[in-house]
Amino acid sequence: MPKAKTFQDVILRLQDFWAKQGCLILQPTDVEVGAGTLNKHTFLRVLGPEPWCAAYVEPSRRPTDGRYGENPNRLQHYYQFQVVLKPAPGDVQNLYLDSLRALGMDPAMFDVRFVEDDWEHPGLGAWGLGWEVWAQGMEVTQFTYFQQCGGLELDRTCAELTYGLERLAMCIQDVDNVYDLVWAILPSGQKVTYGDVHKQDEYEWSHHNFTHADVGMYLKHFDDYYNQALALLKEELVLPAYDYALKCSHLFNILDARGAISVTERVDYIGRIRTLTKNCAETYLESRQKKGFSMLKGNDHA
Amino acid sequence: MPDLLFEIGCEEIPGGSIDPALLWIKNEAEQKLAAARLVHGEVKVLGTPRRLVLMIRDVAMSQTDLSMEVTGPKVEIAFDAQGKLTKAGLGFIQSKGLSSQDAFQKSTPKGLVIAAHVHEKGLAAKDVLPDILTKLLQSIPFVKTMCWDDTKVTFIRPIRWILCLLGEQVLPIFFGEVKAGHQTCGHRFLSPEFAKVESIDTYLKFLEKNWVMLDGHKRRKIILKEADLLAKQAGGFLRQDEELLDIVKNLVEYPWPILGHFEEKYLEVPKEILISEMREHQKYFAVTNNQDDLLAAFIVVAGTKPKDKVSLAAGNTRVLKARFEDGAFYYHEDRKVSFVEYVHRLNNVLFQRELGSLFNKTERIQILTDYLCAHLPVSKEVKSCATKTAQLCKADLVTGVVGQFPQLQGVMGRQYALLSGEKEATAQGIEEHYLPRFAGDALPASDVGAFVALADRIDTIVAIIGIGKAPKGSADPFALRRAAIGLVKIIFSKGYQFSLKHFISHAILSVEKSIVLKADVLEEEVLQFIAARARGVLLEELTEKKANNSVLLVDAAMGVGFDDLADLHCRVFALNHLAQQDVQLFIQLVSNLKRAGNIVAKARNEGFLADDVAFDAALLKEVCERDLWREIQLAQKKLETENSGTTSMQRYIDLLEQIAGLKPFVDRFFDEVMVMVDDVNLRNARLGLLAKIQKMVSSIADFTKIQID
Repeated sequence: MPKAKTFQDVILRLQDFWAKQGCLILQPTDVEVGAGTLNKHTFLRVLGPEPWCAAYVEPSRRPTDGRYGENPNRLQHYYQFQVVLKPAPGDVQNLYLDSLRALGMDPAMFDVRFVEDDWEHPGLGAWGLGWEVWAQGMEVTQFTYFQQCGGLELDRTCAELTYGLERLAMCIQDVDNVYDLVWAILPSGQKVTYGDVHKQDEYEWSHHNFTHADVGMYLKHFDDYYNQALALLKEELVLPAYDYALKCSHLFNILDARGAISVTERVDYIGRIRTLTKNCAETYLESRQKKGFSMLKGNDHA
Repeated sequence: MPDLLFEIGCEEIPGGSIDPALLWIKNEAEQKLAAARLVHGEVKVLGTPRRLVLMIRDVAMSQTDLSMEVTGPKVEIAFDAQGKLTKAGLGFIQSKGLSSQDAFQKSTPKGLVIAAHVHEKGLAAKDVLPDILTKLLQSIPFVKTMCWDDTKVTFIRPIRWILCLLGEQVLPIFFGEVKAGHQTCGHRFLSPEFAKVESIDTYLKFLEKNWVMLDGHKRRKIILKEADLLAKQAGGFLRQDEELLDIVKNLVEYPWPILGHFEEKYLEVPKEILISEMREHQKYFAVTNNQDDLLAAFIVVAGTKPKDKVSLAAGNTRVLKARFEDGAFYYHEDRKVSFVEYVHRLNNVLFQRELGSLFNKTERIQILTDYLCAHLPVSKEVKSCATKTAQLCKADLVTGVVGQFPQLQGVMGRQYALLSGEKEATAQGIEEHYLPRFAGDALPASDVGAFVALADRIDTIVAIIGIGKAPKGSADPFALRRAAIGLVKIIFSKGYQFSLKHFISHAILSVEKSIVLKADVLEEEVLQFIAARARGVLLEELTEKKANNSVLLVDAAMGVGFDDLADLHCRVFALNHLAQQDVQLFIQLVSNLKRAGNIVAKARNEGFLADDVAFDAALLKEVCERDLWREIQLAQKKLETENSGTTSMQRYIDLLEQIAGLKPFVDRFFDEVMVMVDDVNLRNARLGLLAKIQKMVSSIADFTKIQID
């Protein structure tokens, strides 16, 4: 397989590869999130016994990672390609390696290695074991066997593959700076770079995240959204409630980048987010149970 | 006899878990085979990230037959009056799979009991081993385990194949969805196909040919050797890092060290940051020149045979560049405000819920540092630097670089202090106040560092014990034992003489509002806590010096007090000095002093002797006692004239030598006179003489507490 020449080509090939493996190709959530794991297509769907295989791009916001567009690979906004496989297939590691081959990456050539990583997200009450996948020393994927989510032990182990698209593309295109990545080559032959698309974002959002985000407003919004989420949970409207929980998580990240949260408060805020996500997980699981886990088929029925 | 080959094929096992797991497997296998009466030859365990392998040579075809005598309840319970088995007796016999005619009576220390001979034919090894190996698989103690399929079996990472051969026979072992077979595979990318193996020898040959170096020691050796060569090629030396070697050898099934370079401009960033970026995140080795400065090169150990070394090195450089940029970013950001500013930010960092923030702790450290400066002979210069160091010592904890690299605490504090114009002594003190960080670590070299280290440690010990969180059993979450050992070692090495008790009570004053224990109770508890650590450190130091009777020396010395730890240290080593010079002389001396001490103590107890030791020497009438008195006076005079200008330890050695010199006279005294005579004045004079000797040694040790064999 020839190398994926452009950033968008990486996305297209991954979608194509995982569609062929039986994944639904879904779309990102329209709420700001720190990672594809927070998208309901992963966070809620990993719960319960119903099989679920999906793949989607997730634009991810990490306010503290902003570097004003000056670091070669740290970004406050970047793209993940998220694959969630329930139940985890027995040959999932090989499937993953095949997906790299589909991008034109020979794992041997890139010295691909699986390096221990204990993944944990306190705000989601989630953890799993797996690896950072390295290609030439670059962490290009988080590979996790999900064990717990929303404080609930999972009925079935899920495999979660989270590709860092920029880093992967940097390896494939052999460029040292993310802004030099070729995003697309237009039919005219013109090259559009990642920098053309996103460099201004990085500069402006870094200033916003570190200096100009209105702390008072964010603190107030956090309380508003938190209360709204609780109210919705009382009505068993779990999907809207979950969106508000995500908003809280993002607001917390901004406040954290602004240095507005002390260590003591930090624990408290994370605790509140966990309360919401845990409640959402439990309520969602109950709602699926009430529907008799309608996506269970054939062999999946015990 | 057949060999056993057992390979657990896994997805990549975390490097740090491999060696402990292998060691456990070896011990467990040996124990379980012994318990199962299976005779065998050499047991070997080897492993890589993808396989844990147990190999046992020459396993017996079957278990050794069992033949033994078993005993049961007493005869009067097991047999009735007619000599027939009772219900209890029959139960015992049947539980051994025997019948009533097998029973006999046997005389034991417990009395006459029912007994029988049990003979058990050994089972075939192939029938016994599967159960043993399956249980072994299930019980390897990993820190964290996981599920990976619907069977819900757990292991550190998914098991994907099991190879299990006894001779050429596959043993039936099942784990989750995996069934043992006779196949293995080579390197993940270079030789992924599964192939059949027939024996340990063909297995080892197969791996060798297929890019798996099964022996971790061998991988380590090769990495070291080749990395050394590459470092030389880069014009420098491989930075010694045993720990990193141990990690890296278990990240690959076969090591291929590669040399890479980075841009010289990053060398402007402190080397500690660069080394941390390389080793913590990327597991790269650093390369230095002969001054221990970094060169712009690194060594990465690839896990797959590189097709293109240049591109592989370039790829790894790319990651390093981004990391270095980040280190440089934090280093740059950190310096945007003056270092003192970070002290205030410590308000946002909790030390402990009941004890406030790190800022509060810093304030307490300052008070206690000032206390030490006031109670020890120090220059004005040291005092002012110590005060400043105490104020700044924790400030680097809230900087970006330390946030990224916690292990650089202190190191960055030093850098930032210097950059914001602090004196070298202050900067050094900041770095040193964390010492010693672990057993065997260096101690603070400077007084400034040592004072702040002591202040920090006494505050932690007093405050944490004060809120009722003293260590219990093996649980010591605040590492108070380590803090106390560090404190003791610093005092010993520096010879700081001050009252531990007063230091503790001063520390209590500054946390009084937060503590739950009463101040006097707390003071005593902390004193005992530290004394116990001091005793341990002394015993350890004596053992290092190959001392005999070390427990005796330490307990005798501590018997007259430990409030001044530096003094205690001198006394113990003065005693040891004498003991090591002439152990026989020392033991006799000690027994003399013990005898003198006991007589004096008994006389005091019974009211024969007042506390003061004044007596009328003119009453002494025997030659031997007058000689003894003369020698005592000579010794005292000598000590007075020679004492000035020597160290405390030397003074104690002199004193002990003088007392040792009295020994022949004391011997004669005990041989020739009786102390407890009826003549009250004479008795008092003789008791007084002994009390005088006792007083001379009482500043060193209490010999009455000593037991000598």
